Amino acid sequence: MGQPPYPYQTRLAMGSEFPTSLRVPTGAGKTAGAVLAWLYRRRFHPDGSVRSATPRRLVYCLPMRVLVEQVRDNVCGYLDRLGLTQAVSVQVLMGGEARDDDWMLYPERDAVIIGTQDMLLSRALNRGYALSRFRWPVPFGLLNNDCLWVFDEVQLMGAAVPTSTQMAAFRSRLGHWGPSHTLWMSATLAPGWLSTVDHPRPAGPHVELGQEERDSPELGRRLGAAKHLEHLQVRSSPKSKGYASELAAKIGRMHQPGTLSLVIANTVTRAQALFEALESASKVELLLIHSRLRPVDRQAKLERLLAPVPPEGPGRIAVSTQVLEAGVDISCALMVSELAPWTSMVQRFGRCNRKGEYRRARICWVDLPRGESAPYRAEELEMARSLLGDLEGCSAAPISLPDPELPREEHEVLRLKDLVELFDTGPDLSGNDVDISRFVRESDQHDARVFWRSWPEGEDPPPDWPRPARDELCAAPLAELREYLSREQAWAWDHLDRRWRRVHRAELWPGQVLALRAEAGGYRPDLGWCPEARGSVASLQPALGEPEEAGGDDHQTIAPGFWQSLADHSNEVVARVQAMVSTLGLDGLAELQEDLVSAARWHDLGKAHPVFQEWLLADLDQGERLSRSAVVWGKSPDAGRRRRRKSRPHFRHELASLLALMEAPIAGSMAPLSDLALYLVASHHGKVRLSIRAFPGSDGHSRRGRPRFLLGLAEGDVLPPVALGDGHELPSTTLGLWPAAMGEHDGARSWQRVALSLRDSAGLGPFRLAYLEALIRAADAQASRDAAMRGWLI
Amino acid sequence: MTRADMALPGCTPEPLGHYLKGLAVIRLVAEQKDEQALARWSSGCLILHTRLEPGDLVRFFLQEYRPTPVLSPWNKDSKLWPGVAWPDAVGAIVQSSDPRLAEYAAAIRQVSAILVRAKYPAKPKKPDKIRLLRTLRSEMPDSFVRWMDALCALEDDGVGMAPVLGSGGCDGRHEFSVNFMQRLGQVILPAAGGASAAWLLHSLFATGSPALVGAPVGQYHPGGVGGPNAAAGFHGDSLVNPWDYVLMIEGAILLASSVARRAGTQARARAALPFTFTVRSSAAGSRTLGESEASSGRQEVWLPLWARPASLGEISHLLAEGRAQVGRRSAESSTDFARAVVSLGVDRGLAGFTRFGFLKRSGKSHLAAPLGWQPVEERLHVELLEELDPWLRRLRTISQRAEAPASIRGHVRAIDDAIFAFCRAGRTEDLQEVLVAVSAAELGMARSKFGQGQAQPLAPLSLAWASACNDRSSEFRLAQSLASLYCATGATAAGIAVGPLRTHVEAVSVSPTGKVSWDPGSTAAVWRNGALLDSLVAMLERRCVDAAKVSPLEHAPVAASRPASLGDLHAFLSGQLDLAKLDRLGVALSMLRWPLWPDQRQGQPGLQVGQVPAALDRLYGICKLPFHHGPLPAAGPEGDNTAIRPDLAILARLRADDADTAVRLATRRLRGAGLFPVGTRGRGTRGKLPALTIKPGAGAAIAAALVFPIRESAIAGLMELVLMQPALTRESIQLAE
Repeated sequence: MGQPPYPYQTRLAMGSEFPTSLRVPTGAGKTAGAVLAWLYRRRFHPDGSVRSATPRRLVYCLPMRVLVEQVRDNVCGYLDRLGLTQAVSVQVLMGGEARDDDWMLYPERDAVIIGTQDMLLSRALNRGYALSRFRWPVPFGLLNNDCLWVFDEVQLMGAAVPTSTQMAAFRSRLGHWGPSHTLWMSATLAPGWLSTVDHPRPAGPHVELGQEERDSPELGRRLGAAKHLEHLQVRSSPKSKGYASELAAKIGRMHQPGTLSLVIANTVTRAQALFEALESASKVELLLIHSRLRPVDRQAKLERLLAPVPPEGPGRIAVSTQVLEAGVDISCALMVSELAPWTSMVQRFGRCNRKGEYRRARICWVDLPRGESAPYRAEELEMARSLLGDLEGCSAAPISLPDPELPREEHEVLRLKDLVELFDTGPDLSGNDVDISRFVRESDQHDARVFWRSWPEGEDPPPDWPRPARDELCAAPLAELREYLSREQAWAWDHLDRRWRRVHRAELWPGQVLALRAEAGGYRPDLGWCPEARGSVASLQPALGEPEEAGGDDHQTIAPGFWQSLADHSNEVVARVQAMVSTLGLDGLAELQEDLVSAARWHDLGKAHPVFQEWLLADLDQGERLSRSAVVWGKSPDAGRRRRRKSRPHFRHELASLLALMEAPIAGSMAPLSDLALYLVASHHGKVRLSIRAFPGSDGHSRRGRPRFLLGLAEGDVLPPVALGDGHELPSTTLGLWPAAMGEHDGARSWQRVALSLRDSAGLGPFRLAYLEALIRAADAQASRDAAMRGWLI
Repeated sequence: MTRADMALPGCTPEPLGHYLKGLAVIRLVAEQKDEQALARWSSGCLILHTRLEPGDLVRFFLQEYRPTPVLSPWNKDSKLWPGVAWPDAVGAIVQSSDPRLAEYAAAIRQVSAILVRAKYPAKPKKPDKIRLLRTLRSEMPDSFVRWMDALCALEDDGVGMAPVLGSGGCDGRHEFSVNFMQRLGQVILPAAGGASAAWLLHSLFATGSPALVGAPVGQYHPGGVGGPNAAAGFHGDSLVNPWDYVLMIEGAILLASSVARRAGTQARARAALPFTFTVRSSAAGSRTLGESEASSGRQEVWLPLWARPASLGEISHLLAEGRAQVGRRSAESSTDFARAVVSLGVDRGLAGFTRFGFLKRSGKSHLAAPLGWQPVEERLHVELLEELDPWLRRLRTISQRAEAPASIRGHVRAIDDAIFAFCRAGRTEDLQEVLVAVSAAELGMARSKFGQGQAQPLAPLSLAWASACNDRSSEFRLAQSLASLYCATGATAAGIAVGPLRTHVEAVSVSPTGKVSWDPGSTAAVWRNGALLDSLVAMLERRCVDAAKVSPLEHAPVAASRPASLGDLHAFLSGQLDLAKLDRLGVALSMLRWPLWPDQRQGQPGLQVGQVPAALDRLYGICKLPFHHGPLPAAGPEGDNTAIRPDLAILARLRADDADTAVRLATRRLRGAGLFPVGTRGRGTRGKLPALTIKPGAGAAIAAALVFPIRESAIAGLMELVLMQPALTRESIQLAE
């Protein structure tokens, strides 16, 4: 872009095969190389077979949030210059994004999805962080089919690396739609990292810099940029208060006016202490950047960091943590860094005198005693300490650094059995969600996300609050949150009760989103998350927004709209599905078109149930109700309906659809649908998948003389006759609850057996099945959204 | 292809080993021979629904069955460590060219290589063991992962072991994997011969009586196990059918926990157990378990039986999830599990559960003892038990402390027993017993310094308990009337002067908003267990005295939201009731959240005169009028209500069976208000009193009866019964004179 590509970048775009691993030094344009190569191969390659073998979605996975925004900006820039902003959508996944669902709504479009390993891998594992559990299957399906996964800065990904290789192996073993490929990139990539039990060391092409590139003037200057390395003695123990002030004083003396100095501490707490010490000791412009900031504050700081330093001024000192270790394109004249593992040190060095623009660039490293190695392991630091010792007084230019053999890290490896079990998202009534964090990140680095708002003291937050927006959310480590909660309080959304519920400190888990009281403090815009900070926190609550979803909602498909009959809605979803299948043009998908169309046709059959129809008509006066009751409705204009409960709690129309479709063939009133069509009908809101469970409370219990309910349906409920368009009709059907129980019923298979056989079938398997779920849900949501748009226009 | 049912009488729900055999058969057949096979439990054994004939099934196991690689290299007795000579059975498998054993042999070689590479120490410490477990789970083939998940759950900072497979695949000196390989050698290696077929027929179909082999059987078969008294010698080996042993282990593998159980967020936060239907043992509901066994931290497992033919997929999904819910949390203890079984938690079309406890026997080894059978049936009102959970959890915790009085443990056990009994039978009386046990425990806590120091009083329970416990008996209704007594006066700075029944049964105070807290200095707690009549009289006296401290006493402070009927009071007075039951229910119902104040919104209903039992004791009637909770209702349409003050001396006279004085005192009060009992002669006729007698010893009951609140209509009925009609009073008497 604007400069000719490096030869290795050309090899990525033009090579006969896309590589599996890429190892180039920092600053050599990995991101541009990977993204533009995908774009070229997907849209511009002269060979049609290369284009069709290139996945529709580029999933760009990064270890840290700061990198995500930067890559997003870069990608948007490329697309803008290529005039592709309409054709290729760019989505960022960092949690709490208000509108991060376009790529899920239009699975037929090309998209670049950029996110952190937490957000992306949790979605790929069917347990999407900061996402309603009922939507989990959608990104699970879309991220495991027709995707090019790029893992950038692999050296920082820890437990995510074996998960990424295992997932790649499972995709090829269990089957997927469309092409699927994974590229691992790093400046310090050891091929051994990529070999796990089901994923042998990749045989695919490996790309590195050639000699000519190393010698080229541009790269040569970067690779040879001199930076003097020395060990900086600090007497105080890192635990003591004196540490920050001693180090700050030394930094103040070494800082060169008119330049940028970068100080990197291994923990946020020490970075905060250093920042405060420097604040009182020097007049230089100061910045603190770490992972526990709200996005607005982080963005503002990043912009200041990246702004040029006025050469005549006093200069700038940025204090940070690992977040600036990789990817951020800055260059400092002085770097002071605490001892970190060798791969991290190499990355940090890359931020000093990056383009060779300083003559007297210095890197000072500060040793840490053995007991203070966290968050790293003592052995890792030991290795780095000895390598640094050898380099004392030498230059840390990329070409001068040794390339030691890195030890293999031990992580818990995701096994096939685990993945297959993760397919089930059946709600656990006890709030006992599967904690997949061990497969996503190191165990001592787990964060929850918190946001601050004001509401009357002594009460729970109102249930119709706009759901937290991305800009409100700040990462907070679980251990510190527990401490914080010993004196303050937090609330989490309870989808069963549709309310914000106070959580106990023992109930926290990674990825959880928690509301804190603005008056309780815990955050300062300059310091970030800081549990000791007592002042009130500014609330960033959006004025408008969707409330959180509860067990009975799916906001995507109950957008405000207008009156639409069930038959019209079914016709529209059928048309959407047909269009989608033909646009996608994936091998093997056309053969399933009949199942998909049946599912689209019958998916909302259960809406004919009197409970649902009454709910739609409830706000009308007597006259209108009478005149409307002749039609079976699929949608009605929303008039405060969302807040009103159906007459039976937990009523699920898709379960009514399923029960009717399992019962009708037995009664002889229709030919049976295929297992796949049945599954897609049941799962189209993500709430009836492998198991059908009653909810606690009024559901399921039989009160004296009343029938027993299962998700609002009772044995013997009658579904009136329904017409679903295009001549599809079903006479009145009496529903039985037998499919929900285990085992055969009069020779008919239980629902679970049907669903399990699809999950386990060689022709479908978990990935392909979830993808089809995602397609049906997308078609349904597209149709509903269009209906809503028309409703607005009328 | 036709499919038919095949009963396997050798695979029975009990003992544990035979249940596991059943799981092994459906697993191995569906995985290795007939993918479409189904299984169900019926007629006391497993019924296989398959295309195989019995002969095919036998041939499958003898000739085709490929064993799962079962190895536990982390156990010292597994003898797989570098430098240790392999046991013969291991060597035989590694050297065998039999394709059925190829996977097993490969696994042994791979494990050995990992042990060498990992430099596994000869004396491993716990972290070494965990590291090895983690490496094995990361690197070994999928079939081995399943075996590992059946016996252990790796967590961030430790490892949990499933009790069904002992402790990591060994129980005392009994190492499961080595024994498994030895038994395999006896049944599938060439040396097995014809004995193997006979053993298999015995194992599956319970036919024939082949000679068994002497070998340890572990914890699975209490009947057949050796031990100190089973044979001569210190550690008598038992006699075992080798196929039984092989299939037991193969079946246990189906109990592998899922990632949802292993990695549940709750599992970490609340230490729920990660294994299939496994909970902490408690002695409740079982006669087999002693208190010490239950408290030794051992676990128990509840294994499901299903009555409809189910596929292997369904069965393993059920077992892998292995979750039983109590309300919103996972079942943690056996009492929880009993509740889960009858509430929603286990809602899968299951017939019931067999409960197995792991009891310590003979040294370090254990036995899986069947502890009973719990059918899956819905029980009304089981959800009410959730209200007890926070308090009960606290009680359970502190009862384990060394300094806790033994009585608290007894109370916990009594509550657990009552919950079990309720879950089994589900009758109203059973739920009453739960409430009675809870209130007894609460009183026990209130009366012990330890209890008051360690826990808060039981937070009042919802009124749903009252309707759920209503057995429609007079005792219940009377107890309910007492429990629903209002606070008689407003709150003062010191709190409520005259509180609800709860303040009389234990030393607590109740705030105007209903919060209950300990009040060691309480003088209101006059209730004595087992002395109901005394308690009731003392309570009435105390209420009057306390009310008089706040303002002059105008009425007896005995108003209530659910007053008693005269019919029930008649039954009480005529000695027809079970006083012990009334006593217990009164205390029990006092634990509920009764309204503390009259509902102001309700208007006064028009006065109606209630029915009065013809035989109602008139002495009660005359004495109750001064002890009504408000002014006596006006008799005529334009009459005024009549204020009348209680006279505590009446109580003492009644208790002394002194009817005459009691009547005199009551009459004096009534006349003062211008009311004249039948039998007097109206105004100005001194000395003439109703002639009412009392049976010796019956006075106490009459005194006690005065505390029961009654309705306005009932008091009007009493007035009609014992007072001269207005037409006969004042004017008419004056006229007569």
